[in-house]
Amino acid sequence: MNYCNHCAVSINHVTCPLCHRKVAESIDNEVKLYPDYMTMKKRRTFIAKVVAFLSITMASTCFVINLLVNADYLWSLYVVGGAVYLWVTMNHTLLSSAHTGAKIILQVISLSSVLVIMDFTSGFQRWSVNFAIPLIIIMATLLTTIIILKKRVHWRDYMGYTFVMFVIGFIPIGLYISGIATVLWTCVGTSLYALLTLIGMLLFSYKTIKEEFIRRFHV
Amino acid sequence: MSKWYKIDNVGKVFHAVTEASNSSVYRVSVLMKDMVDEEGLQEALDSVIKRFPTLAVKVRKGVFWDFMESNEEKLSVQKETTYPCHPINPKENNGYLFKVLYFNKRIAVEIFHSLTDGTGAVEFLKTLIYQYLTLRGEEIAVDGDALLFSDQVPSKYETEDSFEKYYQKSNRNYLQDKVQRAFQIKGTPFDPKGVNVIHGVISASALNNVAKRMGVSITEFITALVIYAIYSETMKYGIYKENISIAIPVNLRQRFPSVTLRNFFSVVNVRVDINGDITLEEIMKAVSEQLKSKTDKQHLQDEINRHVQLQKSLKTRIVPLSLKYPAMRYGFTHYGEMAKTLTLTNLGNINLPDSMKGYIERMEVALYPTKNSPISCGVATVNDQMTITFARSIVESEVIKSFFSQLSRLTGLNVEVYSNNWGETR
Repeated sequence: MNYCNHCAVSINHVTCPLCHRKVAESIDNEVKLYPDYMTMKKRRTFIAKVVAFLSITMASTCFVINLLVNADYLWSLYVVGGAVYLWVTMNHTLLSSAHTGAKIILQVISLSSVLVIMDFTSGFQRWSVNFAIPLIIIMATLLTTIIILKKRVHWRDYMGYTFVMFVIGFIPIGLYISGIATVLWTCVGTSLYALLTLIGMLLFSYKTIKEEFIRRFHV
Repeated sequence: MSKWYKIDNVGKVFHAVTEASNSSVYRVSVLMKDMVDEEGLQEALDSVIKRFPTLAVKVRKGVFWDFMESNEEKLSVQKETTYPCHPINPKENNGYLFKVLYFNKRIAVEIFHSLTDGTGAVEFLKTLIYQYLTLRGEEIAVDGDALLFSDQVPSKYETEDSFEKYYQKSNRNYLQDKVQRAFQIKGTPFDPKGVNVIHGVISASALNNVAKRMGVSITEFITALVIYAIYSETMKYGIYKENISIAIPVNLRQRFPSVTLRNFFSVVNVRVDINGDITLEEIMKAVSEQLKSKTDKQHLQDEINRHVQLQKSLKTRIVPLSLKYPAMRYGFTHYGEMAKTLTLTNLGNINLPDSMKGYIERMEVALYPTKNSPISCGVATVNDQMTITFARSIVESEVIKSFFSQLSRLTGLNVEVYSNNWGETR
């Protein structure tokens, strides 16, 4: 054991942890009390920053060229939409530790938005709202159902997201009623599918759902 | 179906206020006399964890309040690789909000404060070590109720929210209580962020004798010395009109009978106004008087009522969590944090079976520092070895240096100091 005269304490360090003066050349060969810390490099944050920077560079460059060359036809919106989608996919879907349910929902929202932009830029023939969005919502609901069936033990973790998907499932009907979408069967089909998923959940797991509601809404 | 628990009254606050610079994770650890065996510790943890149902939980999101649900996943012991009180990411810990760590001779439990307080953590650690030693074939005789056994069925009183039990309806509007701003220690945060711990080990009985001679208890003595160190290092040579306020968590189980293993503590702020030169004796007198008056039963009852009443009002309950948490964070940062200079907790002399004491060198308690309160202090005693631990998130260590130097010079006792060296070149 060494002694720091300046601080009047016994120490088992070469340098006093209190005054940082060197008090000895070596320490007794005792068992180490703490590990040597390694500075963790935040590699993930770095990749995310690179993706964000590339996306912004790509999108802004295209947008400026588009405005300078031909401002009547906004083709750069394809690039901007694609860049935003790439950023969401990298940062949230692939790199984040967010819940799978949240990742699916954000994919639905971002992919739908990109497709609407593309449709809009190319003359708005409504293929996005009539076909693409209903299909994306059905696929996402199906994916959530498959995950729930596979992860039976943890299915309650997905319950909230399933309810959100149920609500999203009625958006195509809303789009049809408001006149934005023009094909009825795809919109009704999506909502029916969402409704059937909910009915199935209630029928097979009513008790669990009720209990989950009590927990989540307790005041 | 898995069991669920509402988060206790104090625990809710920790959920709201936790962020990168405020982990709300504290550490209780023991230094064993022998090297720790990882497999043995894992085996002990596997058999002990179900005995503590309110620790073996994961947190789930609710609309008005989060809640805890029993966690069936395995909790693995981990070799210590990072600094004490590191934030716990449940996603990397099978959903658990506490960790069992080992490093050479140390067994440490790091706990997110919403699960339990120091008393609960110590009970868990005692049972874990007992099980670890027993599984290694050591003969440990336990008399009385010195610890909880892993094969006992948890009593319902251990999982109760004792705040609710002792709450008394009161007409007082606690929101109108004024909070006096306290002096805050400023410093340069470590880069990279982290926590440096400096432990000082001293003979508890010898220190007790010194404190008695001065007419104060050990906690009063240490608190006064901490205040004196802050005063000496930050304001002795300047013209300051400040008050140094030490937040001392008080174990409510001592005044309100309870065996709960959840949070059941209150915080008492001991404040000393600095208007000019002040001596250690004057500080000791002020600390002693305040600690006595503020830990009387009625005062603590008021604190219980304050905690519960704020959360019981319908207005608070029906506000969605996404609005409630920012409001709680604001209250914490602008009132709770501003009212204290430093937090000091003394877990006291830990009651261990005599036959276990021979395997244990000493116990350490490290409290997480926060942004506005970047130094904290934890004290625990085992085998007459009192360990005083300062955890800090800033480079400057003058207050800690001053404390230990004065402790050694004032008492004439040997103080053995060691550190994890975070933020320092070796």
